Amino acid sequence: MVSIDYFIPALSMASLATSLAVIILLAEHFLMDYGEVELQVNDKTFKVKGGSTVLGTLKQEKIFLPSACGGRATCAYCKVKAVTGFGDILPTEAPLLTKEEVSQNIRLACQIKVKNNCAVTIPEELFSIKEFTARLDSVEYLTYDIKHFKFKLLSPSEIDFKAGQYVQFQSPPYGEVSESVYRAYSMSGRADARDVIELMVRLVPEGICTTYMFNHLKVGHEVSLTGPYGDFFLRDTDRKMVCIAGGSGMAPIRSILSGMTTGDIEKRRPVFLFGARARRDLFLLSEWAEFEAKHPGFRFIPALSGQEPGDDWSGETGRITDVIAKYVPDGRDFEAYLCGSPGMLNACVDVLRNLGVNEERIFYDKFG
Amino acid sequence: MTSLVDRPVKSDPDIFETEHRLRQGNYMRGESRNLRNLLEDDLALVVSLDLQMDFIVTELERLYREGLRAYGDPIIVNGKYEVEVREDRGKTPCPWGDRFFAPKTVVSARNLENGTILKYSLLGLHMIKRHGFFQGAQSPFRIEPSLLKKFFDL
Amino acid sequence: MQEVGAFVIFFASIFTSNILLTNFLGMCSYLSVSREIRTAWGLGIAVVFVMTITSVANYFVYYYMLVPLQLEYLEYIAFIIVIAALVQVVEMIIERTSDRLYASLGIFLPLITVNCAVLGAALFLIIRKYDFYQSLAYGAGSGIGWMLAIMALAGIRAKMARRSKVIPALEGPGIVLIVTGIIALGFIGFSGIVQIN
Ligand SMILES: Cc1cc2nc3c(=O)[nH]c(=O)nc-3n(C[C@H](O)[C@H](O)[C@H](O)COP(=O)(O)OP(=O)(O)OC[C@H]3O[C@@H](n4cnc5c(N)ncnc54)[C@H](O)[C@@H]3O)c2cc1C
Ligand code: FES
Ligand SMILES: [Zn+2]
Repeated sequence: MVSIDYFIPALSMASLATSLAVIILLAEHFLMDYGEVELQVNDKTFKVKGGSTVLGTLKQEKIFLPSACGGRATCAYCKVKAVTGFGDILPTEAPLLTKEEVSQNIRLACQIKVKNNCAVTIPEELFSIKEFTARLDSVEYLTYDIKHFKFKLLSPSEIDFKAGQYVQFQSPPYGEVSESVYRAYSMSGRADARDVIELMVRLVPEGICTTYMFNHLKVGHEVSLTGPYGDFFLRDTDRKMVCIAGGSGMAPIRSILSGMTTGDIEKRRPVFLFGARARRDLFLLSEWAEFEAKHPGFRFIPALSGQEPGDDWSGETGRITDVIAKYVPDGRDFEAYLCGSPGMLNACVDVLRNLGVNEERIFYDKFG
Repeated sequence: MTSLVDRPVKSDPDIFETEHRLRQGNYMRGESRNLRNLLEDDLALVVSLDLQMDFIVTELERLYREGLRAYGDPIIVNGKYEVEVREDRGKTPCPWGDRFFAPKTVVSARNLENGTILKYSLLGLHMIKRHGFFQGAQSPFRIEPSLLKKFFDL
Repeated sequence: MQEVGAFVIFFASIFTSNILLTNFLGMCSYLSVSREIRTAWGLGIAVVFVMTITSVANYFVYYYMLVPLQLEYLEYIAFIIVIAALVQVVEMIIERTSDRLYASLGIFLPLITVNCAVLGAALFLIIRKYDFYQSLAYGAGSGIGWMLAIMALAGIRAKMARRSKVIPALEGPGIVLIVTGIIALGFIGFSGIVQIN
């Protein structure tokens, strides 16, 4: 018969390990459980489970702070004003905050934790940001590399946004991509069609989110979106309007223009300058022609910078920056709405400024 | 080019974190070597090819600046390179966690004399310059040192 | 049991028998996390914490469990389990009590589990047959000594990075080992004060 002695080493090691595991569990129970605490956000108070970051806790409460880095303290989008209940600035936050922000108690919501009753202030408009589930209803090619996606909102079933704003689209893990990423896309539909979201997306070679949308997302699939974000929207003035876009930058401009009333269009006489390389980069021409026919005050001016053989083009040619002056005779009367690649945007801002457009009346997405 | 002193050493806590972030993104797809070995292998490659990385980085930055002036159209630089800069909206934070934000810009350049084509993104350029990181062998944005040599006729 | 007071052991383990500079334990993190004083301080403090606590814990595990059961040969396994578990508990305590410390130690704590100096300290106090107070003093002292050494090195490296032109062949670990040797020589200067073996 095997003597009990053989088991002593194994048994004692096992009991050592077990007792240590018990210690860890006890520590977890007593140390990591913060119980229920009160988190005050502006003038609302939430009863929440303590222990997580402000960013994560607010998300549980359906308040979505902007974030581009997923809480890794690299993007600094998640700033909030800490009112009470948080300690000193953390080493992880310090490099992302200016002296001024530190003195105003601005903190990174993804770093500070809710451990006891505490209070933060956030910009009021963040309360209107919601997380939507939506179903893809239709996709069509606008050009060889731009697709038009139409989503039907499922829950919540309506979105309240200003024409020109954008949503964050969640691209789930697929194939070799192991993490969810969030990317911004401007809504291109009318703001009064509240149960649909339309996006115009240009394929980025090897881009994580666009590859998902082009190759994996199929009609009928459900997706997750948050929004609306951004302060790119129509300002309520009587000034003349020039809109300038290229590629998928048509999206927010389309949303803005299609939402204007006939009276407004007569009064503000918008021109839409659309820059493209060649004929094959133009899209929705018939829709814009119809819009022009309906509103005599409006003009759609596509311009081609490099024609291809067989393009047979009689419209404007040259870079979009060369075309602007012709349609903006006196910049002082104008308000400008821009959307496109950063390089084009900067160049257009320069041109507009030289034409006398007040810089405060040139609008575009800052994070773009 | 970072000097050896700044290179992460085995069991540096930062390098584990960094490698984890790199693998979550598309920077080390299907790469069996760990980050440190990858960095060392590429450094050895650069040395054996006798590449002056300071010069190469400056040239790549210059091609980008020149290309940018055409707002997306192809442009000939120095009569020798055809450069096309493609910009998309948005920024990518550098996965090395140095709080650098790269615009989503890709430069496609062709050496007109020998036909070599080189594609690089601004993030990729930054990672070579600051972190000596050329990316994993199967990463879609890897910048191959031997291709750099061919492209610049070195 | 040795005939030296706990107090003597405490100072000796910081200066004359510094676990890093005389036994060259804990070298890997010493070499790699010594680029900046701030991070060296973070890791150093974490080592002090963990070494003190694990030395005491391992003392009890050894004399009250392994010895009575005659399982001394299992000390390595037992010590490693104890260290791994205690590091976790320490991590939780810090998380609860100080956000600031937690944010700066966060990534270092798990690393300490594999720091050989921590295991080394536990083994030495058994080999040298220390009693409880001596063990406590030895654990804390060794931790502080390790921290002192890594901070000294970090200070020198920070200065070197700005001022000195190191020849390429010696850049990185090469020059660091030379510097460490010189620091160790400097610490020998303390040996007239106290001495343990
Ligand atoms: C406010 C706002 C509104 C926007 N609206 C629209 C819109 O209406 N329509 C639209 O199409 N887009 C829009 N965008 C752009 C969009 O958000 C995405 O940035 C874009 O679609 C690319 O996403 P992606 O995931 O496909 O590419 P990503 O995976 O993010 O890659 C893009 C680029 O990052 C770099 N990169 C990625 N991986 C690596 C690597 N391993 N090494 C080196 N470099 C790398 C490359 O330069 C690459 O081209 C908008 C952006 C903003 C900020
Ligand atoms: S979420 Fe990016 S810094 Fe907080
Ligand atoms: Zn970087």
